[in-house]
Amino acid sequence: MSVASRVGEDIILRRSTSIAGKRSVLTKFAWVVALCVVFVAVLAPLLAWHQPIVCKYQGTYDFPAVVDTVRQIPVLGSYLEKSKPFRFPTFDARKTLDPDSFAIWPPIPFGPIELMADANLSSSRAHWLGTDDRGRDVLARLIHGTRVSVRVGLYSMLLAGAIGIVVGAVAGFFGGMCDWVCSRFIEIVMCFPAFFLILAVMAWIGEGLTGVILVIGFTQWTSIARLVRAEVVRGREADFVMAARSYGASNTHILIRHLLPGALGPAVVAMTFGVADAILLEAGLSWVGVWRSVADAFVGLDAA
Amino acid sequence: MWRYFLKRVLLTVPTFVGVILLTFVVIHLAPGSPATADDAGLGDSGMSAVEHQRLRAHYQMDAPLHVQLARWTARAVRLDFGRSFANGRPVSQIIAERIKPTLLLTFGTILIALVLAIVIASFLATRCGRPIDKLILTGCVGLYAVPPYIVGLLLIWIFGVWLNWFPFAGLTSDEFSSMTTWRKIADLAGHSVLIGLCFVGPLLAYLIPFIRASLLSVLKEDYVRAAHAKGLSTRRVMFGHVLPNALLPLLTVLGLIVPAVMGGSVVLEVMFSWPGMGRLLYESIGRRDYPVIMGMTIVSAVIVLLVTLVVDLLYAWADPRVRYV
Amino acid sequence: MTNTRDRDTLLQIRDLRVRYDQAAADTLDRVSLSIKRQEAVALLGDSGCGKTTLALAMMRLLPNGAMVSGSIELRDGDYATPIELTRLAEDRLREVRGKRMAMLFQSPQRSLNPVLRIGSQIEEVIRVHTNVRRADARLKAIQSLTRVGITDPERIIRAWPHELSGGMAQRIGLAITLAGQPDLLIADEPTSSLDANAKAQVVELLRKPRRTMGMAILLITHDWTIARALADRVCVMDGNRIVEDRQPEEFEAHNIHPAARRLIDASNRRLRIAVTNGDDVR
Ligand SMILES: Nc1ncnc2c1ncn2[C@@H]1O[C@H](COP(=O)(O)OP(=O)(O)OP(=O)(O)O)[C@@H](O)[C@H]1O
Ligand SMILES: [Mg+2]
Repeated sequence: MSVASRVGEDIILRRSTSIAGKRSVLTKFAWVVALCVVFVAVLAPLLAWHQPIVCKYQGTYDFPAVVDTVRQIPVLGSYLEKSKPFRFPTFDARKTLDPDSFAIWPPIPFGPIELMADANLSSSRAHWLGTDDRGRDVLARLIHGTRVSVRVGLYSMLLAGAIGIVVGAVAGFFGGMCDWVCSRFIEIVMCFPAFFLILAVMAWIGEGLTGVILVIGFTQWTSIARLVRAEVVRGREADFVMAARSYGASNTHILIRHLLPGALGPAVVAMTFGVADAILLEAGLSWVGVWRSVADAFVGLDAA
Repeated sequence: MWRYFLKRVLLTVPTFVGVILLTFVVIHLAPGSPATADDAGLGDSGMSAVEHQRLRAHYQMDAPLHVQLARWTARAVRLDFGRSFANGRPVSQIIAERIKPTLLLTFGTILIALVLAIVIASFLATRCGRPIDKLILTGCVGLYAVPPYIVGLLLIWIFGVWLNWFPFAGLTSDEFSSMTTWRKIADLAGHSVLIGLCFVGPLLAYLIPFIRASLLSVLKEDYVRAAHAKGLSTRRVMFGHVLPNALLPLLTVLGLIVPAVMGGSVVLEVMFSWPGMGRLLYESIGRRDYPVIMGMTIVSAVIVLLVTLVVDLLYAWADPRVRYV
Repeated sequence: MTNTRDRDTLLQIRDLRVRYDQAAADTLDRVSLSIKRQEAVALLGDSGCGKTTLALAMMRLLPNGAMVSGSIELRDGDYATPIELTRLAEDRLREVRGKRMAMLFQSPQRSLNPVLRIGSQIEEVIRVHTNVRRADARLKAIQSLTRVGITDPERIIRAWPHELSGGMAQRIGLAITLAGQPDLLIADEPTSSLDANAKAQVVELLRKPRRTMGMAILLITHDWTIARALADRVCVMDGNRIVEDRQPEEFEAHNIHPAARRLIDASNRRLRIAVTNGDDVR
């Protein structure tokens, strides 16, 4: 590996500690904000949805928004059936058929892709942030956009983390030719300005949330790999590894039990920063228009 | 030292080859690419059948894979990426036109940010823990958290539209060719102010805490104390002993900053209609101009490759400890 | 104190107190110490008792937040007015550091700047205190290297710090401190990182400039044998104060402070171990 990258291994780590100390107020504040974002993302359908949270119609209760919130949970969610669709205007019409019916709506009773009658409205009681050029509620799109961002950030970094940890650990542990090849590979991927490479790949594979996640994951793993490699190399010479070797532990045992735990900390820190970077990348991509606006993509994923 | 230099220069060869290979892989393995697309794949990438045929012809995909690879390599080494689909001009010529504004922007802003960050960080490091230190650090974190294109939009609204202080579209004014040299420079500078700020701001937010931390750790070293004990002036200690050591890690960061800044240029160049590579990439993607897209990807990688090389050589020159490894 | 005795005094520390930023207690508590011209004083003490802190306070090199009270007086060259170091302005301080008082740091490798060649680090002291041209400074640097017993100064002058052994680095540190021809050399544990042989050589090197340049030495150590070999007077620190201040011979007596007793015994024990191992220890 080149000198610069060898010496720069701790740079990503230092980024975290130099900007804000470990226990500083800022760090706490950052955590609170991050949790809020995740909260909004997970509960998006309860905050803004074109379906009521609770409704009663012709004697049966239904929880469409709640159901849709649960349905977004990856594996579990698919067991839940989609609830009967209600629509905001038509529900009132049904009220004349069944005077007993009622509905509790989310604070913003619009979905992100619903077209209203009026485009380009400015703020009003109904549409807090107005509507966009196609007549969709801006605040609802913002809230559901968070879901996409968080999803892109988390999934792409999980992918990047997996690749980075494997490549870094292999390079660091086996050394020699293996290290040389892995390090070259890391360097090659690092040579491409992230946005250029991502745009180039996206130009070929087209739009789609999965595409964005894959592309970001496959390009943003390099810093994680470098950190893990550095940690593993450092650990390889440590006394406790020598001791483990002396009682005959296998390579995989040493790698998994002794070296990776130490390397995981820095990797997780780098991944945390990576989530932020990935969200920015994703926002940039949608800004440049390589893939359709965020909220549409999310709906597309749910349909799939 | 020379042996290390030579070794390091030779090391760029496999990396360059890797860059070419990777771009080749991107073209061929991406689902929906002309190489693999059947009818379903076509729908995916939104490519028409005509486009598809043209691509296959352009990359000569009917030939066996190794022949294709050989041809691709041979052309890429000569930086010959064929002709643009959009206007039929050679891709290298198009890129050559657009590369200068991007290089100006990238390296100009990095230079300015470096100088500013070093000055501010030195100021802060000697006032560690005071209110001003905390204030600026907090400001850096805040600025770091704001995406650059939000900064860009704000700047355009405030200084471009509302106050109307600076032009915010393009590289030069319309009557540029009829200006005197000084007016030309002033015009160029005026056009660079807002977009430059969008680059310098986040860079400062990243560099100031970094350099400050580096300075603080060097200031604690024994050799700094020893330098004071020799009776050197504070300035000489700072410039002769502290900065050379504290700025070493900065060199390595430089190798990471350049690709980040170039990548970030896409959004900002589009926003400010800056006629650089980022905007060219944006336009080419809109037109599905694949030869230009791939050409630009390789060129940007080569620029980063060269920057990393220079940084490494500089590092070896500046830090005697690494030369013999 | 009479005037005649005053004349001999080079440095006088009175009631010095030092407290580091955010520390709970004083690191030095009312420490008083005087050093005469050309005198070698050894300062003995356990690790962490504040020996380095005292040295740094004398050089005014304590970190910014440290609180200092008391007085440190340095007699001027013409035996006239004393300079109060604790209140000296920064620019005047520079004339004292390196020229009147020089300090040899505890860890020789770490006190050399890793990105500068040895030569330029020696020349720096010479050029800042005497008005010589670069070439002359180089000559003087070579001389000062020869003086500390380096056999191939021309090569060393072009070497980088990381290429040196510990003993070599210690000599170069000494060369740097001697280059300004100070009246007082503060040597902070000059032998602690060296083997017995190199130790002996460094002790010899410290003796010589004392004779030739009339330099006073404050030798900081926790090794009784070194103190005994070099010092005219031995001070012992315990906790944060000085508890003994005598001629070395007087330490044979039985009524000395337990801390001093402990240090002496520890050194004797080391000596015995070394002797039974057949090593040559001074
Ligand atoms: N910068 C500092 N900030 C706070 N406390 C310090 C600082 N430097 C030293 N100390 C504390 O002051 C005390 C004395 O330290 P000092 O370095 O003077 O000891 P020493 O006698 O030189 O020890 P050694 O023999 O190990 O060198 C120690 O308890 C140490 O923890
Ligand atoms: Mg000490």
